[in-house]
Amino acid sequence: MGDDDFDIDDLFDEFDSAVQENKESTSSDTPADDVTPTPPPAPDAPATEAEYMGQAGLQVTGQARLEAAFGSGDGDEVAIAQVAQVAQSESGGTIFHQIYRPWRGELNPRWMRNWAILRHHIYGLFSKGHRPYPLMTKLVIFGVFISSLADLGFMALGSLTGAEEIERMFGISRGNLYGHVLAFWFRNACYYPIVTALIIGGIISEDRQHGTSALYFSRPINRRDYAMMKFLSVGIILGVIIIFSLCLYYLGGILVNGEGWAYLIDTFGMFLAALAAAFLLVFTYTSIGLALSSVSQGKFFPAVAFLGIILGTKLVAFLISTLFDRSAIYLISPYDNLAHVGQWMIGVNHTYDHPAVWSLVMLLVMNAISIYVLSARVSSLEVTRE
Amino acid sequence: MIPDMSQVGKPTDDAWAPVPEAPHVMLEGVTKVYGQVIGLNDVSLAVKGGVTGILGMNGAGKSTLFKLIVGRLKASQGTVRLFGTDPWKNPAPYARVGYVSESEQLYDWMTGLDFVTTLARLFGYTRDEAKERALHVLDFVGLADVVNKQIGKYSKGMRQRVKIAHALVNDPDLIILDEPLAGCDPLARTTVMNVVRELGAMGKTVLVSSHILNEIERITEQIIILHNGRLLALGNLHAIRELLDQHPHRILLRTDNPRKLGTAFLPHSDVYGVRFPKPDELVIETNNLSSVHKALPEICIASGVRVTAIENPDDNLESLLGYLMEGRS
Amino acid sequence: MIPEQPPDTPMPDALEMQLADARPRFEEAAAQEPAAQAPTGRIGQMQAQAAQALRPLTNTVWSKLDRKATAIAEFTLRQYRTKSSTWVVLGIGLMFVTMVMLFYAEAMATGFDSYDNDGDSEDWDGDGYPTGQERRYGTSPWNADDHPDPETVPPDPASVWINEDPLDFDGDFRNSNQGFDDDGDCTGEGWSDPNSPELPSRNDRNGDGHPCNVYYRMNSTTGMVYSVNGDPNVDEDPDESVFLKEALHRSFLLGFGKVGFTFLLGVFLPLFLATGLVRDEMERGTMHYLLGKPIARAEVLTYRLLGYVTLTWPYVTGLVIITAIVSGLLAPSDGFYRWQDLPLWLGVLVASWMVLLAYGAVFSVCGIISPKYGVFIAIGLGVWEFLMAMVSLADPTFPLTYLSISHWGIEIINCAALLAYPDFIWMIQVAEFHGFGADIALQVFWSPPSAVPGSALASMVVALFVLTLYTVFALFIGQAMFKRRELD
Repeated sequence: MGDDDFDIDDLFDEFDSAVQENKESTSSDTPADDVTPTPPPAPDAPATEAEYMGQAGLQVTGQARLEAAFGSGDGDEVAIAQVAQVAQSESGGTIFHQIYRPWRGELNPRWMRNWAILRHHIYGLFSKGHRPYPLMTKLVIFGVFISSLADLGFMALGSLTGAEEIERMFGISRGNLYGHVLAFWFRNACYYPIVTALIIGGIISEDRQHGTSALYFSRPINRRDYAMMKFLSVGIILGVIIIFSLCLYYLGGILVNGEGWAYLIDTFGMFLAALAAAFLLVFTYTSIGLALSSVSQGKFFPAVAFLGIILGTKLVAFLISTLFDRSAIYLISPYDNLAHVGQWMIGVNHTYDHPAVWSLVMLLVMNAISIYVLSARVSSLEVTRE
Repeated sequence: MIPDMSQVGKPTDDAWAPVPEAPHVMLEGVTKVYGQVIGLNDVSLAVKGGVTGILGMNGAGKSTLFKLIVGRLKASQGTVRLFGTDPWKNPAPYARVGYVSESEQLYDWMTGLDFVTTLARLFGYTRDEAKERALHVLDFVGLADVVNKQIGKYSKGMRQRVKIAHALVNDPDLIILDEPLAGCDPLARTTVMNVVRELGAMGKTVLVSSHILNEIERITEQIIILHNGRLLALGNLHAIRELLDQHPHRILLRTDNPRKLGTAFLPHSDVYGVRFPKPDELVIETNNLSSVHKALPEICIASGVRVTAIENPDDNLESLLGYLMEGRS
Repeated sequence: MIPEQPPDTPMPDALEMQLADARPRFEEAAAQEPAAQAPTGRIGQMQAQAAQALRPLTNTVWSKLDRKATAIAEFTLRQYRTKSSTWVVLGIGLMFVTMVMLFYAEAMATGFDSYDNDGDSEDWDGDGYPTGQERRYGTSPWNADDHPDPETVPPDPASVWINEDPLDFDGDFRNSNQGFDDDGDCTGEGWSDPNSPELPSRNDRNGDGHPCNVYYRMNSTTGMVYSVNGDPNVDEDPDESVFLKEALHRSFLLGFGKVGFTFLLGVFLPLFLATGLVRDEMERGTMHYLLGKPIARAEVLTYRLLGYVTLTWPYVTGLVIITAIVSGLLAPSDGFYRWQDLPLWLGVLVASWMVLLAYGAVFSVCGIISPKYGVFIAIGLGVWEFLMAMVSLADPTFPLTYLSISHWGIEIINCAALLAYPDFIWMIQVAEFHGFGADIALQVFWSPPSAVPGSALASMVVALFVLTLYTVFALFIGQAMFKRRELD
C-alpha cells in the first residue's frame, strides 16, 4: 500500500458504484471522475493497520475483519466484488460467476476464539477431531495420574484395614504434602518430567513442522493469545495431574479419616502452601517446555531436551555438590530450585545449604528466560511450512 | 547377496505377451494389499527394452507397482522379479536399476554434486570414480552449471532433474521414473521429457509413470494402463485406441460457421451426429475416428468454411479409461 | 569439468561413450551365452542370462564394502554437521566438563584444614610446650611451671603435633599387620620415661601378637577389609589434608567417570544423535536414496551407526584426555603429573565408548521398531537408564540393574578403579575407622565390582561382554525389523 491515507471502505464504495454503473448501461457517458470517491478524511492511525488490528486502534477488540485471511494488503483488496452475480444465460441453465468479497460480519469475542484454541488442545486427549495426541502419550498421562494418586490409595487402604502404620505413613502431613508435589523419587525423576516432555514435545514445533501454524496465523488470532493458550492447555493437563491430584489427596485425607473443622484449620495452611508450590512447579515445567518446543522443529528434540534439562542438571548438581560440597550448584537445576522454594513454603526441613531466596530468584530468572524465548520465537515464527 | 537361482521366474503362457528372455521386470499375478485397501490387484506383466509409460489416475497403483519392483514393498501375493531375482529379498539387482521416487524430499543441505557422488559411492565406486560419474550425469540432465549449489536452492525442475541424475549415475539398464513431470513448469517438463527420450534412444529400459496422457504420448507410445490396481491395457497407445474405435469419438472444430460445416459432414457414413455446444464450435460424433480424420480436410475445404482449430476432446486419460472400463463391463 | 552443452542437445557424447564402455560387458555376456546355456529350455536360458548379468554384482557387493561404509559414514557425519542440535549437544557436553573441572581446580587449590585428632597440640598450661611434647618429656601438661628445659629442648610449634602420626599402609593385602607408631606414644620410643603412665598399659590391645600396630582383618585375595583394629595411640593423628585431598581426587575420578561420562554423556549423546539415524530418514522419505543401491539394509543401519561412532568416540576421547591432563596436573602427586590415574582414565574411556555404542544401537533400533512410537520408547528407555544408574550407584548388586546399560558402564569403571588403586577399599574402611567417613564422597561413588565379586578383571570382562551383547542384540533385532519394513 503506497499511500497512508488509503481506506479499504473506499474500495468497496468504488467497486459497488462501478458495478452499479455496469448494470445500468455499458454505454453510459458518465465521466470516470464521477465514480471516483471523495478522498477520505485523514485517520489518526494508518487506516489499514487500524483495520487489521481492530477499530479502536492497535488493540484487538474482536472487531477486526478477516482481512488477514485474504492478503497482506498489497493489492488483493481490488479483487472484491459482489457475490453470485448472474453472468451469462445459456439455454437451459445459469452459470454464476464466483466473485468473492471479504466477510464483513462481526467476529466472536476474543475469549471465544481463544477458548477454541484451548479446547482444541485439551479435548484432543479424549476425542477425535481435535489435536491428535499419540496413544502412548494418552496412556502415559492416564498412568501417571493414577500413580500420582498412589498416596491417597495407600491412605485409604490403611484407613479401611485399620493399619495404623500405613495410615501414619501416607496420611496428610507437611512431609507428605511436599512429597506429593516435589518428591524426587519418583514423581519428579520420572512421572512429571515424562508427562511434560510428551505433551510439550510437539505442541508448537509440530505446528511449524506440519504448517498448521499458518492456519492459526492467517486468522484473526493474536500470536500472544496463541502462545498463551498453548501455555494454558499444557498447564491444565499438568495441573490435572499435579494440582488436582493434590487436592484429591487432601480431600481424601479429610474424608477418609472423617476429620473435623479443627483439623481443617490446622492443616489448611500447609495445603495452601503445597498448592502454591504445585502451581509453581506446573508453571515452571510448562514455560521451560514450551520455550524448548518453540525453538525446535521436530517433537523429539524438545522432549529430550526437557528431560535433559530437568534430569541432567539435577545429576550434574548432584555430582558437583557431592564431590566438592557446594550446595549452591543446585541453583542450575530447575527441579532443585523448585524443591528448595517448596521446602521453604511448606515448611519442611531444608536439604540445601544456600538460602531459599537464591533458589526463588533463580526460579524467576529461569521462568523469565523461558517466557522471553517463547514469546520471541512465537512472534517471529514464519507462517510457512518449514 | 548372490542371486538366488531358485528365484528366477518361471515363464508363463499367459495372454499378455510372450515372455522375452530374462525380462528386466516381471510380475506374475502380483497383488498388494494395504490393510483393507488393494493397491495392486493380480497384475502380470513383463518389460524389457524401450520406454514404457505407466498411466493411471491417482491411486491407480503406479507407485505401488514401482515400489514392488524396486523391493520397497513386499508383494502380498504373486512373484516379482527384477532381472530374474526377487528384489524384496536381494538388493543385488539394484546395481542395474535407477529409481526416481515420487518423494519430493531431498537432502537440501548437500550440493547437487555431493548428493549424486555420495549415492554413487554406494555402488562401490571409489570417490574419484563416483565424482566423475556424478559430474557426467549432472551434465547429462543439464545441471552442469549448478553442481556446486545447494539442493535447497534448486528450483522444482532442477530438483526433479537431480533426482533423475542420481538414478542414472550407475549407468543402469532399467530406469524407473515415478511421476518425473509432477510439478514441473513447461520448460522443465520439456527438459525432463528430452532426457527420458534420450535414455530410451540409448537402449535403456525406461518405466515412466504419469496421470496425464499427453505427457506420456510425447515420450512413448508403449503404455501400460492401471486403474484401481488392475491392469487395464498394455501395448501401443494407438493400437489400443484402434481397438476402441467402435466406441463413439468426438472431434471438436472451432469455426465461424459451424452449422454450415456441420451439414457438410453429415453425408459422411461414419458420422452419426453433429452438435453445436457454442456459437463458434462444432462437435462431430463418430465411431470410426480414423476414417473421419482422413476425410476431414477434404470436407472442410469443400465447404469453404474457415476452421480455426481441431481438437480431440476424447484424447485424454479420463475418456480412455472411460472407454476401457466400459469395454470391460 | 565437462564442457557445457547447449541446452537443446542434452545427449553428451561422453555418456554415449560410457554406454559404449558398458556395452561390451553385456555383449560379452551375450556371446558366452550359447556356451553357458547347455541343454535347457527357457528356464535354463533365463537362469544363465541372469547369472551372466548379475556376475559383476557379487564383486560389487562383497569386495567394496569399505567404500560403501566410508560413503555412508561420511554422509552421516556431514548430516550431523548441518544440524544445529548436534552442536548444541556437543557444546553443552563441553561446557559441562569445563564446569566440573573448574570446581575441581578450585577444590584442589583450596585444600583442607588439618585438625588435631588427639588434642596434643594444645598448650593447656601456657608454658609454650604443646601437650604431646610435655608427655614425651615426662612433664605435666597441666602445670605451667613443669616443662622441659628450654635450653636443651626448645618448645615445638603446635603444627608439629597436629599431624604427627600418619596412616601407614604398605599396600600389601596379604599382610594384616599394618600401621606404625610414628610419634612413639604407644611404644614409648623417644620418650624420656619409657614407663610413663601416659603410655598405654597394654600396647597389644587388638591381640594379634604385634604390639603397637593396626590389625586389618581382610580377604587376602579380594582386598576386602572386614575390620580395622588398632592398638592405642597408633595412627591416631594422621594428616587429614593429605588424606581428604586424595579421597576427593579419587571420588572425582569415580564420580565424574560414572555420572559424567558413562551416564550423562553416555545417554544424552546417543539420545540426541542416534535415535534419528534411521527413523528420520524413513519419516522424511529420503531412505529411498540409500536403499535404492545394491546394499543390504543391515549394512545401512551398521554404517549409519559407524558414522555416529566416528563423531561421538573422538569427541568423548577428547573430553577424557582434557580431563585426564588437567586433573593429573592439579591432583596431589609426587611428581609433575599423576601417572597412577591413567589406567582409571583408560577404563573411563572404554566404558564411555562401550556405552555410547550400546545406547546408539539401542536408540537407533527404537526408531526402526516403530517409527511412530520409537521416540517414546527411546525417552522411556532414557528415564529407565537414569533410574538404574542411580540405583546402581547406590547398590550395584540389585539384580534389576543388570538389565540396564548404565549399570555395566559403571561396573567397568569400578573394575578399572580397583585395578588402578587396589587400596580403594582400604581407604574407605580407614576413613570410617578414623571418623571421616561422612566427609568424603568416596562412599557415594565407590562400590566394589559386583559381576564376579572379588575379581576386578573378571568383572570387567563380563561387563564388556554384556555391553557387546546388548549392542549386537540390538543390531540383530534392528536389522531383522528393518529388513521386513515396507517403505512407502
